[in-house]
Amino acid sequence: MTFVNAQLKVAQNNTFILNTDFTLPPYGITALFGPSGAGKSTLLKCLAGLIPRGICADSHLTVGGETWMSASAFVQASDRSVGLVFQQPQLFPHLSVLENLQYADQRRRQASLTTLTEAVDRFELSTLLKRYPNTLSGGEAQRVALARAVVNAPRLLLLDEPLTALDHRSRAQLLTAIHQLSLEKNVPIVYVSHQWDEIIQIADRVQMIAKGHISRSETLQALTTDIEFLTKQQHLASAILMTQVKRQVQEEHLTELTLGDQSLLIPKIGLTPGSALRVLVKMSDVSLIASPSTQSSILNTLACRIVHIEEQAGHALIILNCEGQYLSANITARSRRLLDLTVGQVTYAQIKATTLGQ
Amino acid sequence: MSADLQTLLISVQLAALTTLTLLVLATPLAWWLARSTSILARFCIPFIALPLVLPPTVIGFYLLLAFSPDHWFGAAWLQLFGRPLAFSFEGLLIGSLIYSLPFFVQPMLVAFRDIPESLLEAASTLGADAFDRFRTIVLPLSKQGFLVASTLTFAHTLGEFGIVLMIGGNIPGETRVLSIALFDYVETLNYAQAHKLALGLIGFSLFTLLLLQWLSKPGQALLGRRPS
Repeated sequence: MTFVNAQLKVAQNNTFILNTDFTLPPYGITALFGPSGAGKSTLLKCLAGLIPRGICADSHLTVGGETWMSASAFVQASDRSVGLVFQQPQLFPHLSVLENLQYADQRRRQASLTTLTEAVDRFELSTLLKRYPNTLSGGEAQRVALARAVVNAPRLLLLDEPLTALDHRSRAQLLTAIHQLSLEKNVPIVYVSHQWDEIIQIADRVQMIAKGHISRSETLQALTTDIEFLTKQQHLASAILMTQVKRQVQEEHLTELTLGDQSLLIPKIGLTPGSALRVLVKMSDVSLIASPSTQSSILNTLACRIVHIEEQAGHALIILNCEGQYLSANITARSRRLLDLTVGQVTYAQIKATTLGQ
Repeated sequence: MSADLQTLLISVQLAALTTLTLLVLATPLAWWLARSTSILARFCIPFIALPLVLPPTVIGFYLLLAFSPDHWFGAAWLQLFGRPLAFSFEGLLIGSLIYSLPFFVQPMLVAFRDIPESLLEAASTLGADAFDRFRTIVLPLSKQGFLVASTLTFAHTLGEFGIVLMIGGNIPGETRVLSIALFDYVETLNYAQAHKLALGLIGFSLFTLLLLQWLSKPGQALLGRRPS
């Protein structure tokens, strides 16, 4: 099902800085992934109506059956109902947090996705409402910016590297909030990033953009199982495992997850059995052993098959297939020799439970 | 009413009307100059700044010619309003508007250019159209610019001399303003009265400048910046 149908052409000094066709479904998170200067921000601005008509004259854009750009039409940014959150929060400095939210609420064009009160809860803003933007931390300000965009009831939510300027903790918190929003509300989200580990945690689909052109559009599942892509692009520093919650191990404050026929333990999270959960596995947290060990502080041992080995300057990148999903380990070339690892062989990956997160 | 009080009243009236008129007319002009990238806008700025460097008598001279009933402008005015522009309060007002324009536009340019485009983009994605953005974002964020521009314009109009001398004449109750009255007192060697006016003007001007200094952001020197 297609919600957004776009043929975007943006020209500057007689060369195209954006020239691409794509569609978006009416739900889920589509990540726009590419190097800086690839045209990611231009594409979002073009969708939002912030690129002057003169330089995107041949573009065509329909959203939910309405034509926003064509040879004869151009809907102004203020009439598009597009939520755009930039790298910088762009809060109005003369308005308090509450007034910033009210500004958005008063100008929405359709029934709210979330009420103002609900957005305040969702983004944990209740203690910040009276404060002014210049007194907020980066993470707090970006939460307000997201809440402000959501309260405005956008038909399309565009996020332009919203986490780049934030510290690690705020990033994790906001990433979860964005993912949660997408699961619960019917709003298509375009998430721009050049951070692969952000994308694998929340995206449903990935569109690869380079030189103003979307070259590939896939489900995340297809990309994370495309071994050629993963090795060529060196995108395995963090891998994602799609799991299901099996049960809570109350007395040990752990949650057991199902991964194919195997299981994983992670620090307790409050999800009901059966819920889907993405687990981020950092390459640096994976070690390999020849046979499953019971004498270890490491809780998780997964049986894997080696599918690819790449040696370089004393290091070996080992790509492992575990229940049809891929993860990788970075070990020394010496360890590889000692363990005598070869492609096709079964080995065991140890992953510390405490490092696993959503 | 004493003659001096009447003169003061005319001066204040002229300064207030000039400031109000510029608030209405020159604000959109300054906004356009601050935001437009067109060649026309760049071309306009030196013309607006001209009164900063020209002797006021030069502007006064050409205005006097234009106000004459023999000139199309003066003739049209006479036709429209039934009284000539030269040596009238309205003529004085037009002269003041031109002469004080750069003093209003310059601080407004600084204030408007300080507003990041990205804030306005954020407002438009939230559904605010151009007028709404100007009212809810631009006006509150350039409040200080308006205060500085208005105070500067008011004070500057009050101290104007050259243009008034050329186009206003010296008609009590109509075009006689403080600076001219002072000139008259000195001419007739009435130093006691001259002191009263001169000291009064010094006091007022100092007060205004102190007020401006207080209103200005640190680092934004009062007399430093010229329109670029």
